[in-house]
Parts: sequence; C-alpha cells; structure tokens
Amino acid sequence: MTATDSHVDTHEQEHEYEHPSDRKYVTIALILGALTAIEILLFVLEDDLPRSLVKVGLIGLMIVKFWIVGAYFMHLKFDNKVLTQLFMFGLVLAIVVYFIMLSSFEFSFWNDGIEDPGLPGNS
Amino acid sequence: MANATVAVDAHDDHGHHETNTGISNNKLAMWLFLASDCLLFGALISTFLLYRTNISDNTPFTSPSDVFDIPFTSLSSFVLLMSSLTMVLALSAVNRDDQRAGRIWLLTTALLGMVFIGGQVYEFTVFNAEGLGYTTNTWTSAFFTLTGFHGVHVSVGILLLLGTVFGTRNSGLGKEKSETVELVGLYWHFVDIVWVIIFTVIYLIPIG
Amino acid sequence: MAIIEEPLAIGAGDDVPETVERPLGDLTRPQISHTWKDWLTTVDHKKIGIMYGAAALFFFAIGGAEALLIRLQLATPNGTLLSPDVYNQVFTMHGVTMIFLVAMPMAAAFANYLLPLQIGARDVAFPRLNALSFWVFLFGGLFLNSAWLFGGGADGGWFNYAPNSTVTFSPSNGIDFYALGLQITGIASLVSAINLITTVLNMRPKGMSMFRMPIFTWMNLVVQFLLLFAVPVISVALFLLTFDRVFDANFFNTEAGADPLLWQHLFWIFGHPEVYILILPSFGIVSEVIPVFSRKPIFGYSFMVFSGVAIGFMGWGVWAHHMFVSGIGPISVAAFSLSTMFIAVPTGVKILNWLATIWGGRLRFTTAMLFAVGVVSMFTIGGLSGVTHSIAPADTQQTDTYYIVAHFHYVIFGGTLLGFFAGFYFWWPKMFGYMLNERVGKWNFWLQIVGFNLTFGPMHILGLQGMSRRIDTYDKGFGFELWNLVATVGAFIIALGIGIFFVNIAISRRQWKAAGKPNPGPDPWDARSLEWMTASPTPEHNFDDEIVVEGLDEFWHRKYGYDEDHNVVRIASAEEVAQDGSNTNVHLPSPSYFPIVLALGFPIIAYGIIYSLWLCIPGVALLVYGMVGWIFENPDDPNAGHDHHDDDHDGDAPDALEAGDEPAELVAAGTTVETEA
Ligand SMILES: [Cu+2]
Repeated sequence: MTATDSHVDTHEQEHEYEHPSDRKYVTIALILGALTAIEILLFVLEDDLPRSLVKVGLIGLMIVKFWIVGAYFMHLKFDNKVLTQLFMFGLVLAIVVYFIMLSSFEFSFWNDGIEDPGLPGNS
Repeated sequence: MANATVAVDAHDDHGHHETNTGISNNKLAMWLFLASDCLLFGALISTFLLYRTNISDNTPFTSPSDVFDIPFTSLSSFVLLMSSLTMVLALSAVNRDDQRAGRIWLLTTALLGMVFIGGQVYEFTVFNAEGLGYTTNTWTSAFFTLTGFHGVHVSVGILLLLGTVFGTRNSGLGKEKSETVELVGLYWHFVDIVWVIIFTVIYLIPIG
Repeated sequence: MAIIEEPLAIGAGDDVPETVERPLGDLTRPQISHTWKDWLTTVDHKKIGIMYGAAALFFFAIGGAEALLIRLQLATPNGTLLSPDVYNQVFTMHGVTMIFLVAMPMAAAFANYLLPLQIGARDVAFPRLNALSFWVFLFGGLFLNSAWLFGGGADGGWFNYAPNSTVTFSPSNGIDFYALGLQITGIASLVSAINLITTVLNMRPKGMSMFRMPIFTWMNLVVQFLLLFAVPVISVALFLLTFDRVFDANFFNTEAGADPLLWQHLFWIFGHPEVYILILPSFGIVSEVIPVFSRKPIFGYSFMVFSGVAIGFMGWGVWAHHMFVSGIGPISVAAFSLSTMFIAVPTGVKILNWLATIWGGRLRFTTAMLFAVGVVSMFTIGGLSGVTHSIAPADTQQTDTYYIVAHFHYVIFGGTLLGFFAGFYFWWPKMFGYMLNERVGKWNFWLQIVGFNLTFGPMHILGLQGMSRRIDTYDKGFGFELWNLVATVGAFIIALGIGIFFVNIAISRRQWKAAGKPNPGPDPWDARSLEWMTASPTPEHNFDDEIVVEGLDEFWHRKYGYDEDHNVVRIASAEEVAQDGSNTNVHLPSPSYFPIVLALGFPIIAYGIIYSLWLCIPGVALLVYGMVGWIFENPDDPNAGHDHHDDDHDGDAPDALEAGDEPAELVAAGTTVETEA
C-alpha cells in the first residue's frame, strides 16, 4: 500500500551507511535523558505554568524522544525508506483512527475537566 | 531478484539473500509486526483515555495524580530508556565481532529490563494496597491492562535477550549473528518508545 | 516473529558438522515419506493452501447446516424446531463460522497456493510460519466449534455487542469460546499477513515489478495489509471482553460507568476493513477469470490496482456507518455517511472494468466464467443495497431488519463465495491435475444462483416489510409467510447446488482415473499468468528455472505475437513455453514438526482460561517447547545435502529459483549454473 516498488537498486544504499559510533550513541542517550529531565521539570512546574504550555510541551518532547529512538537506535534514518513508510503507515493509521474514535465519544478528553466528567457517549 | 549466487559471496554484515526491496525477509517481517503492534497499543491507550477520569469511582481518589508516584516512575522510565542505549551498544559490539562485549551489553539490557519490570510489580502492589484493584473501576481495569500489556512485551523482550545470549553459547555470538541482535533490538526499542508515549500520556499530562 | 524463524545455535549450511547435533533427539526434521504424515509436517505452500481449502470446506458444511436449521425454523410462522436460546446460538455460530472459518481461510487457501506461483517464486518467505498459520487457524476453528460440546455456542450475534455479551446477559461459556477462538484465528491471520506481504515485496523474480503482478496478487496484497492492521484492533476488543468475562474487569460494565460504544467502535474499526478482507480476494479471482475467458487483457490494469488500493485505504474511514442508530452524534453520522458514499466509487470502477473487459471479447462460458459473471452481477446488487445504507435516514429504517441480511448475503455469498467457486473451477486442474466436469459444473452454477436469489432476494422485501433480523419466529398475519417459505426453499436449492459440487469432484476424479489419468496439460484454459507456466498439478518445486519476466501477462505474451497486420497470432504452444517440472535437483525447505506442536498450545491455553488456569501450564509448556524446538532444529534435513549459504539467516527461506542454488555436488554432476545479472 505504500510505495514499495523501489526494488532493484535500493539495496546498495542499505549497506553504505556507517553505523553511528558508540560515542554518538552515548551522546544520543544523554540527550534523551536531558529531554526526560525537562519533561519532569514541566510536570513539577505544572501549577506555575499555563496549562496549555505544559501539555503542548510534554507532547512535543514525547514526539522528539520517539523520533530520536526511531531514527537513530532503530536505524530508520539510515535504513531503507520502505521500512519507515511501513512503520509510519501503521503509526499514522493508529493515530488517525483512534483520534476519530475518541472524538466521537462525548467525553472530557479534549475539553478537560475532572470536575465535569461528562457522561460518555450520551449524545 | 532473489538471486542466491550473489548472496553466496555477499558475506556482508547482514548476510541475506538479495531481495527485491534490499531488506532481508526477517527484518521486513519484524517491521511489519511492529507496524501492526501500533494498532494494538493504540487501542489500549485509547481505552485508557476513554476512562481516564473515572478513578474516583469506588475509591477515595479524585485524580490519577493522587496515586501516581512520579519520581519513582520517572526513574524506571529512565532505566528503560537507558536500556535502549545498552541495546545499541550490544549491536555495535556484535558488528565489531566483539563477542564478550556483545554478551555483556545484552545481559545489561536484560537486567535493566528486569529492573523496569520489578518497578512495575512494585507499583502494582502499592496500588493494590491502596485499594486500586483490577476490578475496582473502569480506570483501574484500563490502567492495569495497558501497563500490563506493555509489561508482557518487555518480558518477552527479556526472554529474547536471554535467549540470544544463552542460545548462542555453542555457536558463538559472532558477526554473523548481527541480524539476530538487530531484530531483538528493534523489538526492544519499539517497546521502549511505546513506554515513552505511555509515560507522557498516562503519567505526566495533567487532566484539566 | 522473525526472531523465531532463525536458527540460533546451529549455523546453516557449511557450519553444520557431519555429526549433526540433535538437541531434540527424535524431533530433528522429518523426512518426506509420501504418506499422510507429510501433510502434518509439510511447509510447502501448495499443500498448506490445499489444507486451508479442505478445512474451510469442512467448516462450510457446519455453517451450511446451521443456515438450513435457521431456514427450517423460519419456514412457517411460529416455528418450533429451535428454542429461542438455541436459535440465538445457531445464527451466531452460522455467521462466525462463515466469516472467520470459511471465507477468510478459503481466501487464505487461494492466496497461499497462488501468490508464490503468480509472482514466480519457489515458496513463501517463511514456510514454517506458513504452516504455523494454518495449524493455529485450524485449532482455533475447532476450539470455537467445540463450544457446542461444552454447553452451547456464542449467542450474541457475530458482532457480539457488549455489554449484551458480558456474563450478566450471557452466562454460558459460548462467548468465551467466541472471544478466545477468534483470538486464536486472529494470530493465524496476523502471522500469515506478515508472511505473505514479505513474500510479495521481497521474493519476486527478475523483471517481476509490482506493476507486472497479476490483479489477484495485488488484491491479496491489499487484503494482507488490511489484516495486518485490522487484526490487532479486534484482538484488543476480544481481550477486553475476555478480561471482563473471566477476570471481572469493567470495560463494558455499564454499572461501573463503562461506555457501551467502546466495543462497537473497536469491533467495527476492525469490522469494516474485514468486509474488504472478505471481498477483495474474490475480486482478484474474478479479475483473473474474466480476461482468460474473454480472451482479452484486463481492461484498465492500473485502475484495477489503484481502486483496490484505494478501497484498502478508504475502508478505514467508514466504520461508524454500522453505528448510525447507536447515538454517535449528528456530526459523526454525517461524516461517515459521506465517506461511505465515496467508497462506492472505487468499487464501481472495478465493476466497470470487468464489464469493459467482457465487452467485445470472444467469450467462453465455462463454469468458472459463469461464476465470475455471477459475482459481477450479484455483487452489484449487494453493492447497490449497500449504498442505500449510507444514507443515514434510510439506514435508520433498515438497521436490524432482513434488508441488512439480504444486503450482506448478496455481498458475501454473491460476491465472495461465488468468486471462490469460480476459483475452484478455474484452478482445479492446476491444483489436482484433472478438470472438473463442465456439464455437472453448469448444474452446480445454475442451482446455486437460482437458489441464492430465491433465498436472499425476498429478504429485501421482508426487511422493508419490517421483519426483524435475529427474530426466532413470527406470527401469522404480518405478510411474512410467503417470502419466508420461498427463502427456505431457495436455501435447500443452494444446498443441492453445493452438494452437486462435491459430487462433481467425485465424478471428475473417477472419470480421470478411468481414462488413465490424462494430464490436462499445463495450460487448459489458454491462460495468462505465471502459475500456468508449469506442469499440472504444480510440481513440488513450482518452477524448474527462474522466469525472467518482461511484462504483464508474461505467459500469454510468450504464446502470442503479432503478424505484420498487427493481428494477434499464436507463436508457440503452451507446452513449448511452459516448464515441464522435470528438474529434480531443487533444494526445498525440510518439513518440520514444530508448527503443529506450537499451534496445539493455543487451544489448550484457551480451555485453561475458561475452565481452570492450571490447564494453561501444559498449554504454555507446549508453546515454549514448540518455540525452542523451532529455533534449535537444524534448518535442513542433514541428509538432504548441503545448503551452501552459510550465513543464510532465513534458515527456512526456500531457495531462489536458480540452478546455482542446487547442492554443490549436483551442480558438479552436470547441471549448468545459470548466468546472473
Ligand atoms: Cu461497513
């Protein structure tokens, strides 16, 4: 379903790349650790910062961490693009489908409020 | 282009038949499985999100933040994140044909995974003691199921890691095992990024 | 998945010492014995395909018997054949059996048998996983049906809406069998999807680019992607249901504030792609049969491919049309109503292309062609009534009436099942080496098509008259009597037609033997795709040599050319072009005990979850034993000669289609090594 017709020559590219060095892996891990620290900082400062900033920041950091692990540790950045396409297809499909599903429930995820739990699915 | 004769002299580090995509069958299959697993975890996370505000049913708690021990969970999240580092170091060692380092890093990865699972067992025990049982309300059912499925995935990963270390005692963990280690690694990193999502969405993002 | 494919301890090929270590004693790889035992351990995609087909026909008999019971109960007002409770079980099990244990495995049968052949490959990418898929499916299906012996089947309809399917409302174990049985068959589908996608993407011979693949292969590729992404969704739904029923979780416990729409959403997110999982294989078969018997290439090949892919994408965005009366809110209803109307477009494209292929062709109305034309016409009726559901106000009237029952039987029986029969008549000589009798086949077809329309045509009327779906009986005086009786008569005519199919198999086989087994030749229909380019029945190694493909319909183009006036002329006979299957020097993957051993663990675990968790221990033990044995068994029968790819990580992958792939000794013995690109 994705453009998987890139047969024949792509295999050359696969072996061309150098695996990142161990040093680079450690650096990446340190960056991941730092991002996690920022996440926790955002959590701690939750009450002092605008709520929307905390949420957007946390989700943004999550995406960055996800991308770093996928791109470097799982080699997607260096590997055959077909793999990225296949994985992204599953990931995006999951996000879109479940987003639509959750939106069709009239519950409090998008408009907040544990004070107003809302009655699920009572439209 | 399933061209075996080329593969015979292609003693490269991946050592597979030349395929149409250039990706070995094993690796393609693993990525297909991981893509499919996105839908599995997506459904579990969505189920939790649907019930995320229901923690107050049958319990004295008003919000999940009353029960989460964020410092503790942050630590175990960090442990799992670092296990991804030891995993790539294992692969890197195997690619260099450094069997000893490869084994040590694989075992370290498995150990970090066990620490994570230990943390999860501890967390579940504490929750249970506080009156949050599996059947208490919709929130607890969803929470334990989601984190439990993730825990099962991690445990399978630990078994794969140990299997790789101890299953190769006779044959050695040389460069030709590179793809095995790479595939175990892909699975392991995937389990890690699922936790990246769970940690943010379930533990950190405030309700309201 | 892939991990367990790989031999960890014992390197393949050259690394195998002369005295092969046998960590599992007797469970080293079995050797081919040419007895029935071969079938238990086979990893040959063709044998596995045939077993899928046989198993599907077995379940078809069960599901068919259930259908006849339903029709007998409803033949007259106030029927008393089945109690309401038993009636619920019978129609539920009829639906579940027909969808999950007949239509899906029959599609898997064709896909398994034909996909590698159509792309010109030796086998699938993971032959052992292929065997595993089959056995897991078979044991899952038997487990599901064993509910009849343990207190009755599931009784909540095939989509088993929660909370109606929770213990409170369905205290018997039927729904536990449903949830766990479908979970097991889901594992089979997922493994098989990964396997077949890898096969199609990776194992094509030289020149076989994606856009030279036959439509059947394309449609099955789309189906496998749909399975890959839809199966995990139903798995989660079934897990949640099982946890609710067995461990008292609260996912569907409305008293605890659970949302009953959760099940509906998860089920239909799977359920609508499932509709295309059911129909696209049949579309693929029809797209092979019609060009051959119209003696024309398929009209608009790329449109056929892209409309199939488009259906695969759009199939994910229409699921809530099953929930228009569930209270999902006006915005959702409007959005899903629109998307549902749109998805009719690519389907319409396909129908137009088939008609354009037939148009102006030199038609041969063989039984296969009749069934294919039957699919086009009957599916069109079902598709049109489907479009009427997309209009939400109309759907509100039609939901839960016999109009819906009529619709989906026109689609699944008229589309999917008739397509399979077209496939039987078309590929039978390729699979078994003899033709099915055409005269008897025409009786088969006409009885089936007449019976089918008598059965399901009147259901449109019954539904619009207001007859409720799933009702176990009805009173006199609503105007339901006549059409119900007609439907019941029709159902028995269908049964007769299908009975004739089995009779046809027996007759044709006997005639074939009596006539001294004349071979139908590689190409009895003057066909177009690669599976006809080898002997009939297909030799174990599929092809003698790699086929270098130069275009779509490669086989046809080798038989036909153009004269100076651009008229099509025959340039070679099929026998001249096709390979005769005489190459005996092909190295094939060895059989294995472990797929069936591993698969056996699943139903034992499932019984354990229902009756006693202690029983899970032997189940898991069997699973672990199967996996360990799988990993450590030597990749090849040590006596079968050396496999020379020493670093071959696909310990199981069949050899590529190269003479150079033969064991070195045999190459030395005189076979030429093919030149490489
Ligand atoms: Cu639908």
